[in-house]
Amino acid sequence: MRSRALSPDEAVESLDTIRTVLARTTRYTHISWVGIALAGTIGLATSAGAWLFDVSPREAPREFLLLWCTALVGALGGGLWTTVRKARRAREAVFGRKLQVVSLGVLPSLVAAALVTCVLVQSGALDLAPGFWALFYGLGILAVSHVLDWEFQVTAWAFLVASAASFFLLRGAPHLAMMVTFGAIHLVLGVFRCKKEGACQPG
Amino acid sequence: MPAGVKLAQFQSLNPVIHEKARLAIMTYLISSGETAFSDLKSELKLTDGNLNLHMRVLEKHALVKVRKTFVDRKPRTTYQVTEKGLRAFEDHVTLLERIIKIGRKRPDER
Repeated sequence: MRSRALSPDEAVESLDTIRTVLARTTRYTHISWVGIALAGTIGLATSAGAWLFDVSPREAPREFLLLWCTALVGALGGGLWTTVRKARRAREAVFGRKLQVVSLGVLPSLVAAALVTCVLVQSGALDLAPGFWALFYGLGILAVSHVLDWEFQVTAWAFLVASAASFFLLRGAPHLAMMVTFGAIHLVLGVFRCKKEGACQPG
Repeated sequence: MPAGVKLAQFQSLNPVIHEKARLAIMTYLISSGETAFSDLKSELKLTDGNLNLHMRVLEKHALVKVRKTFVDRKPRTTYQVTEKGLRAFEDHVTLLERIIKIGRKRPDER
């Protein structure tokens, strides 16, 4: 390999290559704004439906749980579908190491949320569920925020604050608590990501 | 624009690593650890032939080591940076920083 003049510009370019690859290896960028907005819409629609038909966690705990489990499956399914689609469009590995890191990071919080829900059902205190769900969801996002963009960390803290509000201010209003947390916060994040990804430019 | 810094001035500048694709491969392997050929290919958006060629060059210079195994009866090739590769990469980054620093200085300061 021949010796030649190396300009500072070439050196800068080489360091840029290193920086770009490092950012790519440490950041998980396949979470689509469509999936987040879809989760927010499902959250809003479900809480509005529960409010409208008076599916309260105290009076109708089984129905309340069933309704939100269905919403969770819908949001997770939509999220997975949009994630796979985004990764394929970028011609990147869908089920690679980074997805493994994110999944394993979130898993303990999801397991804890499921266990606490079981305890709440058994003790007849399901009206506390919205607060706990928001708390564990926020902790789950926070656990993997080091591989996500900064707005996910802000979102995680928003869930933690909303969780505290659910426990102390909105305990008697579970539908409003769910509407604010799993509906509004998701929608705000979805719109922000949409603008950031350049998919929601005016005009 | 400052003139190019002669490569000969930096005898330890590694032309094997300096090539853009190989620099990306080395960076990826160092930050991610042992990585499968298929993951490298999709993450760095390289073709089979291109990646193969670069990996052979890196392997020939003992900058990476290859491991071939079978998972569910399918062959799986993984790569890992060697000690020599890690040192070469660190030296390369140091030299790039020095070149940039020299380039920023006024001609009379060089």
